[in-house]
Amino acid sequence: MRRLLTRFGSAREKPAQSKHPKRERRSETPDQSTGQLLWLVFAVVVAGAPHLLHLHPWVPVIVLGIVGWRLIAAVKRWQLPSLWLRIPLTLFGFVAVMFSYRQVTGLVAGSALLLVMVAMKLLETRGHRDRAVVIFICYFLLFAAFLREQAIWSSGYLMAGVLVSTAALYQTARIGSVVPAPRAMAMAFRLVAQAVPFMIILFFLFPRIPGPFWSLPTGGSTAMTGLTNEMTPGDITELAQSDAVAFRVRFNGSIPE
Amino acid sequence: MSAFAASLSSAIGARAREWARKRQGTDPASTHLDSRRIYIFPTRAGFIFGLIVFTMLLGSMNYNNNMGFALTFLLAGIGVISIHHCHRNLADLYVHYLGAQPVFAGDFMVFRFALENRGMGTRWQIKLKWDDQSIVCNDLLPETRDTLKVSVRTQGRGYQDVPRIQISTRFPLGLLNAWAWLNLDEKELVYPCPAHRDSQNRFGNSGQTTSGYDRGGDEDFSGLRAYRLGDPPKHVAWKALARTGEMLVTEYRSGDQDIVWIDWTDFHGASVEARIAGLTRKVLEIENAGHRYGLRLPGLEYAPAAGPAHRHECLKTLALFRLADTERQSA
Repeated sequence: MRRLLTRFGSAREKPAQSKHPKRERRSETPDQSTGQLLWLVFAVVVAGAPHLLHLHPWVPVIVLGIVGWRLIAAVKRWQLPSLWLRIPLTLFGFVAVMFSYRQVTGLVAGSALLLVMVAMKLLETRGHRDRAVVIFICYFLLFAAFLREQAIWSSGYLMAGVLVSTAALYQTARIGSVVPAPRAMAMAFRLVAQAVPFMIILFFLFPRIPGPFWSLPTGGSTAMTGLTNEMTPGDITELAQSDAVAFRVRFNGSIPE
Repeated sequence: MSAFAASLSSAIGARAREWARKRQGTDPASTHLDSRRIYIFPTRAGFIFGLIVFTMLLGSMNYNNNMGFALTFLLAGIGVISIHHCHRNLADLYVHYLGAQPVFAGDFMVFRFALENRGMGTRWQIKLKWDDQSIVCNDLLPETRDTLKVSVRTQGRGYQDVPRIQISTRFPLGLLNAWAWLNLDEKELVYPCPAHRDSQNRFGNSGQTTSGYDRGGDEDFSGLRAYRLGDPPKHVAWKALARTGEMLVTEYRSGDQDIVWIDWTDFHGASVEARIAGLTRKVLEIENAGHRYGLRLPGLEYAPAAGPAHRHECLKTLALFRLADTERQSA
C-alpha cells in the first residue's frame, strides 16, 4: 500500500489499439487507481469523522466496514460487487436510515444518509466522475458539519477537511497516476488560498434573507412554544421576548369599544 | 434517450470543430497555442459540482448559517480559480509536428508530436486526442519538451493525412476541460501493401530477370543489418536478438550482383491494385536479397540501383501510381 502511495513518475496511457477504444475511459486497472482510491478513502474518513459521534452507532460500523472491505478488495484485486448487489445494498441503507431516524431529510438524518451513500459509492469508483462524486459528497458532509458546529476549533478542523478533499479531488482527476502527497496538499492549499479573497467578497456582498424561507426540519433540536404538562423549577432560566407579529385581527363591523 | 443525447452531442461537437477549423485555418508544423484558440467548458463533474455548491447556498440561506455561507463561497471560489488554472495549463504551449516514417498500407502510421513548455510553471497532464484514441503527456517541467506518438491505422496506399488533434487538459480538479484544435495540412506517404508471398506464383514469375533472383543469393553470409519491414522472418538473427535485444537480419549476398527488372507486365492480366501489390512484394524481396533492380511501369522507368533511397523511390512511385485523380493532384 505504501508502495502505491508513493508512486512518482506518471505512467502514460498507451495508445488504445483495441477494437473498443471507448472502453479506455472506464477500464482502469486496479493498480492504476489504488493511489486514487486511498485518497478517496482518506477524504471520506476526514469528512465523516465529525459526524460519527452524533449518529446511531450502526452507521459508523457499516461505513467503516464497507471502507475496510473496499481497501482489502483493492489490494487483493477482488471483483467489485455487481450492480445487482449494489442496488439492494443501497436500498437497504436508505431504509435503515429511515427506520433509525424516522425521516431522511433534516440535518442529522441527512448526514447519516450521505455517509451511508458515500460508502456505497466507494464500491463503484470506476471513472473519473464516480470519484468526483465521492469528493462532492465529502464537501457536503463537511458543509453539514459546519451547519451544526459553530465552535472555532471545529471550523479549523473543517477547513483542513476542505483541503484534504480538494487534494483528493486533484489526485482523482489525474489520469492514471497520483503525485506525492505533499505536492497534492500544496496544490490544494494554493487553490484554497486563492479562493479566499473570492469567498470574502461574496460573504460580505451576498444578501441575507432573514429567517428560513424553506422550512427544513432541524432534526432533534426542534422546540415548540407553550408549556409542557410537567415542569420542575429551573427548567426555564431565561426567556427572550419576541416582538414579532403574533397574529392579525380583522373585524367585519366597526371596532368594538 | 441517451442514444439521442449522444448523437446530439456528437453532432454539436462536429459542428463546433468545423467552426473552429474555419475560424483558425490550418496550422504550421510548429504551432503556438495562444489564448484565443483555447476553448473551455465545464465537464460533467463540473456541472455536478455547480449543483452541489448551489444546494449548499440554498442550505446556508435556509439555516442562515454564516459558516455554511463561508464554505459555499470558498468552494465557488475554488471553482472560479480553477477556470484560470485550467486555461493557463494549455495557453502558450508550443506543439511541434515532427513527421512520420512511411509505412505499408494497413499498418499503423506513427505521427510524432512534441509538446514544448516555454513558460515558467509546470504543465500538468496534457492529453492528445485523435479519432477515438488518446495519449497523455507527462507533466512538463518549465523549459522542457516531450515527444508523443499518435498512431493511426492506414487504409490504402498513397497519402495519409495527419489526423486532427485535440489538445486538452482537465487540470487541476477535473471540473473544467480546456482544449485546442490542431489542424495540420500535412500528409505522409503510405507504401502499397505487399502481396502475400504465395500469391506471386498465381501471377506467374518474372520472365525478364537476367538471372533468377529466387536463388536469392542465399549462399554467402555477408553481414548483419537492422531489420526493415518486410524482411522474411527466417532471415532474422534470433540469436543476436536474444543477446542484444536488437532486431537484426542476416544478409546474404551472392557473388555476382545480378540486375533484375521488375516490370508491370510481369503480372499480366491482374488488376491495378493486385499488380502494385505484387510489384511491391518483389521490390522488397529483391532489395532484401541484395540485387540491383530497376522498375518499369507504363510510361516510367527507374534505372537499376540498390539501397534504401532507391527502394524508397520505387515504393513511392508504386504508392502514387494511378491513384484516384483527386488524390494525385493533391500529391
